[in-house]
Amino acid sequence: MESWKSHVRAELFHRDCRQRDPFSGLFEKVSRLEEMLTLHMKLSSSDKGSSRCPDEGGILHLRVNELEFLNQQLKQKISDLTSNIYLKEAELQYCHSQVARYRTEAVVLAQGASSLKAGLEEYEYQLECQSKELTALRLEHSSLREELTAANLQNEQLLERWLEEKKEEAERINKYNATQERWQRLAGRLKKRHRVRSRTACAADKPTESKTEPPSS
Amino acid sequence: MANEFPVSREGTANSRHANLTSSLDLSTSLDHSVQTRIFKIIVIGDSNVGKTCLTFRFTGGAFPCKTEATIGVDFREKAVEIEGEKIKVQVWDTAGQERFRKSMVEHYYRNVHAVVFVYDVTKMASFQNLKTWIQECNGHGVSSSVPRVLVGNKCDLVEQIQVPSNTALKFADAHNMLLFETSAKDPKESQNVDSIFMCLACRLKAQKYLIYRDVEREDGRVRLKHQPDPKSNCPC
Repeated sequence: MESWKSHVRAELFHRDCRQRDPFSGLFEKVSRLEEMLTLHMKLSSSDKGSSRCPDEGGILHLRVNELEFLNQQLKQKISDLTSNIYLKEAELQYCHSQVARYRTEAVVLAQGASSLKAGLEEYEYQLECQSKELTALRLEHSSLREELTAANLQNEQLLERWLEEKKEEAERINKYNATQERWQRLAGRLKKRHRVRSRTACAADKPTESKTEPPSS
Repeated sequence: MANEFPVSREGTANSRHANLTSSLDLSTSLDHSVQTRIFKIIVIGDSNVGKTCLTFRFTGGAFPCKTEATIGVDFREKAVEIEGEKIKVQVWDTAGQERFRKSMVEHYYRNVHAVVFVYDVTKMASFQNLKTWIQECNGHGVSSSVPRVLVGNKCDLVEQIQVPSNTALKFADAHNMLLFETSAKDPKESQNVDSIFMCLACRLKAQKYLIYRDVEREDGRVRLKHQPDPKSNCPC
């Protein structure tokens, strides 16, 4: 869609250039002639009162006036151009100073750009290093996490084992306590029975001994 | 016959002498065989109330610098002498955390002679949870005649006390328990810590029936059949 528009636009532009440029000088000439005509009209109107029929002297006079007018115009033009030259010179100086300033700025900016570029390169290098480091750390992290999982599992297993051991130990101690208690109870009974028996035996022995004791004579 | 008499008499005397000697030996061996009595005391309560520190203070005489959560149970012993009798106080420092207790619980309560309930005076929750601990204790067939004491630990943190003594005392009275408020950390309170276990040991010593109690192990539980000796000579 846009291509045909641009094509038409370009063609119209070329047509304008073709049709207007050949007549540009003509227009200038016509305008100059118009100016001259206006001047002649003025001069003729001013001279109307003095002489109605123009003669050779009048034509010369007209010519002189015309030349004076042209001279004045040229003077004006020269002064305009001179002032224009001064202006342009000032502008040029200003532009030079601006150019110098911009050049300095450009140099500074170029230096900054080069330093930034160097910094960027350095940062890129650092980024690359860090990305490598990050990859390595991620790997390490994942391996550590795996190790942690394994360690946790091992810990759980060890805990289970420990609890089992403790349970067995508790069982053992309970059994030992029970055995000890039972043994003490039996020993106590035996001791009591023994004490009773020994008392009975002693009681039984005493009269027998007195009976069996031989006479002193 | 006359000759025979002295011989037989001598023989009888010899045999009697032998009997006497053997009976003396038996008596001595029995005396030796009757070893030190063991009193199994379990210490229960919420985690981080200071059970381990209390038991360590009693058995080791110091406050442990660093303690980890007890896994299952830790056994501690201390030989004490009460009225001339040597007694071994076997303290079972139990785990407070459920995950470390698991299947151990029945072993705690088997043939237990006394129970120490511990709470943290700076944590009301640990005091409120005592009901659960008592329920657990009763649920494992521990007879009401088994002495129980209530211990409020960490009394040295005076500024942070949350459980008033009156409340604890009421609770202890309601459950027929003695109350001790102490600190395993404070060296000045060490005697108080000792007195907890010594008091229990004295009470247990006074309850002579413990030796002769009929242990029925068919169902793995202890049933106390004899009544405690009413004459108690406990010094505490």
